[in-house]
Amino acid sequence: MNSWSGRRLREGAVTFAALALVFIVIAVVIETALGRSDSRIATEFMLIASMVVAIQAYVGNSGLISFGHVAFYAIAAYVAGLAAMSPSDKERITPDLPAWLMQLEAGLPAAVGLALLAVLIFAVFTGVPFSRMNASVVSAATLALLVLVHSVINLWNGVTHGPLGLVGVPDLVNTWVVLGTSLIVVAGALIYRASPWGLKLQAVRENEVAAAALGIPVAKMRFVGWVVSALLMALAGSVWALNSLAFAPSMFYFTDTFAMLAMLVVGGLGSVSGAVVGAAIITVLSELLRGLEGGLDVGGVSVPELPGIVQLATAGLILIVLIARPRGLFGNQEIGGLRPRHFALGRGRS
Amino acid sequence: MSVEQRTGLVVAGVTKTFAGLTALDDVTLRVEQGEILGLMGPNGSGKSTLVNVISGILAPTAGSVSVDGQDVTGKSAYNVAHAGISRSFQTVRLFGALSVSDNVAAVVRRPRRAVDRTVVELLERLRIGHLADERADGLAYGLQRRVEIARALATNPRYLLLDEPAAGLNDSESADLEQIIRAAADDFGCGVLIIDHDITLITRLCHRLHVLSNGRTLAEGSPDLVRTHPDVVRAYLGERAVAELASSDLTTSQEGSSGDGSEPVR
Amino acid sequence: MSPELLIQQFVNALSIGSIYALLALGLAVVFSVLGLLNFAYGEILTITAYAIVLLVGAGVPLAIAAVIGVIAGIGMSLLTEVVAFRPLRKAPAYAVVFSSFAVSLIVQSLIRNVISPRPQGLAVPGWLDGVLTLGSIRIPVLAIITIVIAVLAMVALTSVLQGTKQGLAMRAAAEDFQTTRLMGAKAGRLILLAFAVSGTLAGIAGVLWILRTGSASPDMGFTPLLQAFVAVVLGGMGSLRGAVLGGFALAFVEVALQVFLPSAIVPYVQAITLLVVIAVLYFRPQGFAKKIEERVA
Repeated sequence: MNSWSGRRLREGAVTFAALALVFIVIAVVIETALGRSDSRIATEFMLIASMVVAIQAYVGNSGLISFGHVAFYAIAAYVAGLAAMSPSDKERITPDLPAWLMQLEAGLPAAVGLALLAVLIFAVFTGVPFSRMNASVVSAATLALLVLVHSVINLWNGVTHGPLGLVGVPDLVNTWVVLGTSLIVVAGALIYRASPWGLKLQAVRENEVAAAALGIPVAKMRFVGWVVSALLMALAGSVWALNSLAFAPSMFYFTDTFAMLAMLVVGGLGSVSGAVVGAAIITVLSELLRGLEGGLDVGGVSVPELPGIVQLATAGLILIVLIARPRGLFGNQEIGGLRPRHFALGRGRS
Repeated sequence: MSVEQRTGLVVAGVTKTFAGLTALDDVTLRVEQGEILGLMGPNGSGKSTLVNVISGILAPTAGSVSVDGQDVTGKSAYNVAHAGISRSFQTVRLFGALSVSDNVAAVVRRPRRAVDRTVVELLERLRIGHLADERADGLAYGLQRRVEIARALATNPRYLLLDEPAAGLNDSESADLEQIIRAAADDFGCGVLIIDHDITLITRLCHRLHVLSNGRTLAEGSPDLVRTHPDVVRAYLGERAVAELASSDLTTSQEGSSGDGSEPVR
Repeated sequence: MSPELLIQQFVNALSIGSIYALLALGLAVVFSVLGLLNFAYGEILTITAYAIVLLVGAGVPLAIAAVIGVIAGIGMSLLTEVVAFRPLRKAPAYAVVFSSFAVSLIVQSLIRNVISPRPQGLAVPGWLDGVLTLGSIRIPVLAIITIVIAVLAMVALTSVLQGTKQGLAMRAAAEDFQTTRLMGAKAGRLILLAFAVSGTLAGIAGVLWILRTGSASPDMGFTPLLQAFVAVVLGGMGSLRGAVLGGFALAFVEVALQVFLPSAIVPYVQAITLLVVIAVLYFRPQGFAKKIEERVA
């Protein structure tokens, strides 16, 4: 326990308090003031923001871009969805499932638990080779991972119902569950960030050669970050699945990957607070633009096939943010780490 | 050099070639715990390469490196670090976006007390405690150098390698640095290998000197070498100084190399 | 499996490999100079392909359309450098991943809105579908053309790199891309050259690709991008020779899997190929390239 820095944990706690407040307010507003369609959007937002936070736990602390986290989301969603669906539905659309899964009609904890287990195995299996690769190679490898998982889900008709996806996933989740999930994910990311492993991974990010020369185990730290963020992703993803009734492989591919990475970039890769704020900005922007399009309302940002304004604008926004403020809004800064001098005009860094 | 010696950082016959270029040629030296050895030589003489080989960033083409009896030849920087070696770098390699205390906390291993306390005490000792929350890459150069040393000391090393720690420092900063390094050897008990061009600093600080030229050992012995050894004087001050030296009453190279049992010049 | 079929598949693999090798080389050229991957690379092919489809559809002879297509591809490559890379020269390395990705999405979006979201077919001239018969071996004309053009392009590139002053400068820059990234104006022209070369290679690959597949769609650039990445990674990042080797290796693995796997598993070829690649990277993180000595200040 001596290795844990009280100072860093305190900063994390302050940040958590601020972010938790935001989420709690949103949940309360959903329950009391919002109509059905707006509720859906806001609930989705909380889950998507949680997923961005999960990605941040790896990408932000390691400085390595991962395109593969949506693969964890996909696996978690499918496992949780399949676990929770009624056996009769499964017999109809996913006839090749193993018997135990076919008969299973899990409640929320079991479905989420199974999803976490599946992702844990997958994350460990991929994490071992990935954490040994150098920075540019691993980015390409995570891209390969995304394609790999998407391709398998798309093709394995007997188990995943192929391109048509899962339908009839029970709604086991209410606003408070979503709130709880978001709080757990945010807390998890902040605790990891404050932990000795998170700190060491950040040291590796800043200067890999110096970190190794001073005794930090580079590959091991990257491995920990990979697995932690995968589990957080799985938690958010499985709850998302049990809130979504239906989903298809196309939702777990490039468009969503880019949308979430965009949120991270806008908010600031190095910051959990940034991840949440970035998610908020992009979500609001997307909703406004979607309203302009007069198009379909399917909630959140995971609307894959809509060509046009939303994607264009998001991409354009990314470019602008990157050129004007490459480190994003928060940079490496957390809310808990803000000091009075950060608000002085013309001074300070972020 | 006796094979049985158990203590000390021992570099034996290290050679390093890069695609035909010989950067180090059969270099042998030794640092005891609590001792400060100055590594000198003109630019390109192989000093940084030697430090990189010792710290595991480069593997030697021939020869061996051992730490208190443990062979670390060719092992990775991580393994060398865990054998008890720590270092600073010629160009400052801090964890830029992290605070000064985080820079230090990141490398502390198995602290016996709360890491925060360990960090604060170390920073106080190097008189940078007031900078604890500052971002490392926002500091003035001299202070960054001090943070690097604090960080290197945080791993509780047996041997500390400092690659031009005084480069770019003004006189008062250099004097501070001298104190810090001496304290590292005396209070922390580290063996220190220091590369620097500041002759005044080196001669005041070091117990012994080892001079390289073109990857080979030129001379080894007391800090007087820079004033008395013709080859060393030639390398640093030119031919005229050598001529002046030869015509003076001062001792010749003989005393410089036999006086304290160091290696004969090659 | 009969020897004839084996030879035919071998030629097939060579032909696909030629395209992958060109693609990988184009990506590797930019990577070797800048140390950065261009995520809008696939769109060079897309632009070339659409240019050809639209021009041929308007009656322009194929050969001319192909040349114009390659020029359009070069233009796309240069545009990416100016919009996504140049303004971010001093930004952290990952920034260009997003900016080039953004450019890629913008191009796809524009094509969907301005041209059509549906695939556009190319009227491939009949003779290209022809087959050469040597004894009992049937070799598609297109395969031969592909291999020849690709090899010519790669030979031309090699002589440019080794023979000209600019080529030398590019190879020097490739030695230390950290410095190149920060050098500013002086390196500017060199980088433009690298992107132009990259665009040429991808453009030629685009011509061969559209002749082979016969249709262009807005998101067609993604598969070539992925193949190029995988090939570059296999070959060892920054190694041009490795990129070419990687391209051929990838093609051979794909074709071998397609030929020897039971037909039920064939749809998974792409997935299995990727698994193979990840496995290779586990045992040899640096790919086919030799280990590079860490350069430390």
